[in-house]
Amino acid sequence: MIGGGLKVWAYVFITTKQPRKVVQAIRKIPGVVKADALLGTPDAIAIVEGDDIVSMDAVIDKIVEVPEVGGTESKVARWIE
Amino acid sequence: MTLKDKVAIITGAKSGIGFAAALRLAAEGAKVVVADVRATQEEAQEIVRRGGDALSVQVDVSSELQVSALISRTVAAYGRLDVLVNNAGVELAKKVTETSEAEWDRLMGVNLKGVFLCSKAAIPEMKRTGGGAIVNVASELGVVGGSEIAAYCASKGGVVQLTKAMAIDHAADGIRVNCVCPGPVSTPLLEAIVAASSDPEEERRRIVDKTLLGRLGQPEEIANVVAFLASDESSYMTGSVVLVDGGWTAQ
Repeated sequence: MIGGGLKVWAYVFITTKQPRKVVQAIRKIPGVVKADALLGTPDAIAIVEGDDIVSMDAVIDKIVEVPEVGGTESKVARWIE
Repeated sequence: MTLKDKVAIITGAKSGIGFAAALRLAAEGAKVVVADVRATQEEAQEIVRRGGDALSVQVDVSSELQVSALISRTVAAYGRLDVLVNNAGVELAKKVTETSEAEWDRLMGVNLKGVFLCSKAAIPEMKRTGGGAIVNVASELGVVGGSEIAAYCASKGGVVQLTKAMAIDHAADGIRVNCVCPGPVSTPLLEAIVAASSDPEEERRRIVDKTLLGRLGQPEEIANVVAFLASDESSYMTGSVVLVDGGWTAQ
């Protein structure tokens, strides 16, 4: 199998006082597949992907670095066939 | 051994004991996930070249997100998880008074928190398929003390105790948890310690002299025991701490 050839995805839940600005900023980050503001809490969500675990985590780090992002909680999808 | 078609994750599997364990488990028929912070495709390629089935995954075991992605990727690739070998570890040849807070946190993050996070993520997958085996690689320094290696001793002592605690909590789930405590083994980790000392030859002699067998162990000699504890051959063992130390702690 060696590399597996599978991408890795995570769901990043974001708290922010400026959801519009944050969503517009993180949609531009390579590896962010989709980002939306949410009704209620948390304030926004992003789906990120990477060719491997470390590169996926690096995408999340870029989201965390956006100045208006207050906090994040990231979850990896549990594999279900 | 009965590891045919079992799915095994080995952390810290790029070199040393971890790589030897990966090769041995693959030789016994297991599908092996080579997990290491420095993993490349080379390790899996070597296993496949020898006729096994393997997947290389680069992962930092001190990150909960990365560890959960490791488990998810393993199950996506092979459909299940039967064996977890918590082998990833780092050393730090310092007294407490010389150890910085950052060094302590990093070492504990890999050596102890890594075992916690990998086990936490693996156990639900093992439960789902009726059980499994966790093999923790601690050290003889998890059982006895050593000079100028304080944080490492503390972390490995923690691994020994975590082994027992998890064995108690998850026996009813069909999950056995055991621990190997290697003595001095000829690995890049040990060679770095020896090379960093003021007199490497004297340091090597000092280490060897502490064993009854008068030599360093070889990674394969630890991998043999890891494979045994991972397999059904050790079906009546859980919560055990197995010293494979050339007699270091017998004295």
